[in-house]
Amino acid sequence: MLDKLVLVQEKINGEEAEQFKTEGLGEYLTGDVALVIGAQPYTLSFHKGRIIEVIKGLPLTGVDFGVAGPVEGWQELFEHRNLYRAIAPKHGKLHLQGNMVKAMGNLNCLGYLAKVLCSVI
Amino acid sequence: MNNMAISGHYIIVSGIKTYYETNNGPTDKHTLICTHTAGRDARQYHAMMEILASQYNLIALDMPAHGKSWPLKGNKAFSTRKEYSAFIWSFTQELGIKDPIFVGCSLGGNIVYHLAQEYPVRAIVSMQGVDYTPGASDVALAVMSHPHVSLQHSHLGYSDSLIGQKPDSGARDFILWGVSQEIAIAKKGALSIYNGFDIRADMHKITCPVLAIRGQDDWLVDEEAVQDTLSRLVNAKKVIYKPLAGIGHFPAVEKPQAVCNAIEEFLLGL
Repeated sequence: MLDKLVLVQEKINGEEAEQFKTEGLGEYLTGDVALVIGAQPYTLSFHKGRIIEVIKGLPLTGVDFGVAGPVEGWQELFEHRNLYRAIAPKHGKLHLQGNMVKAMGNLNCLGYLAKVLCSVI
Repeated sequence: MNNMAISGHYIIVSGIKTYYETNNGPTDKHTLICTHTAGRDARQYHAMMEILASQYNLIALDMPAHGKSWPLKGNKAFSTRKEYSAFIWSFTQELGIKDPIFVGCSLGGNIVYHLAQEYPVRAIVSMQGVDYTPGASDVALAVMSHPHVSLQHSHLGYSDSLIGQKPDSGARDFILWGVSQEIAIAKKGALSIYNGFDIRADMHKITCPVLAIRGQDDWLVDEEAVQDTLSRLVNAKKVIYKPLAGIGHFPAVEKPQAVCNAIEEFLLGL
């Protein structure tokens, strides 16, 4: 998965940069975002809408917010390509975690990030 | 000059200055009272009002705290379905509408079932409506009016994901513009009603004809939930189900002509 997330980093910082910052409202996103796939976390560190680092695991300083859930839930996300469905209580098996105010404030960015992730899977 | 059939008006309902629009259609046939989705306003019915202007009288209201209607005392919005339905019924009575047919979408689509349980309605048209919507999102609800969460931004992608694959030109823009104009207090109140909405136990009380419309691309209100709802309409005079392909959560905006065709067919059979 780390190699896929590196591809996401390249896209968000490259061909998707403008769209991520405008349509995705990612321009204001600064912080560490965790994607926890099953028991395995990955962290994407953002600075003003650019991904400056991708790591396997969590940084010692913790993360701001993220999306977590069983592998099956992520597979459903990759199938439907819709984060909002994947985190909806009745429909998906994933959930937001961490600072919920920051997570909900950046929900649009997360949705766009998930769309880019699905495109490289 | 391209004049539209629609005109806007105000009326006092239960002490609230309430805005509504009508297509000024013929009043010798059915009158349809249209209610919008959570947080939005009567403009969702503009296209339908224009299409049906020569056939039926359509009236669409902005619920209190939504659109151009005033909020409740203390700048509040309704947060219970009983208040919500009672207000719509009072609105209908204030206008002197006899045998109203209620049309609603999403929360409005749920509410028309509740109206049919509680009041003597002629018929109902429920779009993306069901009798049970368990746990929409407690987290989203909890932080919806937090000063660090901009509802007008955070809900854009969410609403976009609810739109079907083949909306009419301009529909997507209007739906997302609707997000940009939402009032957090109003949306939170409306979703408080939607979240945990459960009127399954009283579905047998509905005796009027029912038209259920479902945009099939809507992931939120799925086929199973609609079928479960329809299965509980054991005493309704007539139940017609109309699935619409390529349409999502906002049929009246996405494909108004298809919705009007279904409604016309339904009304002719009453």
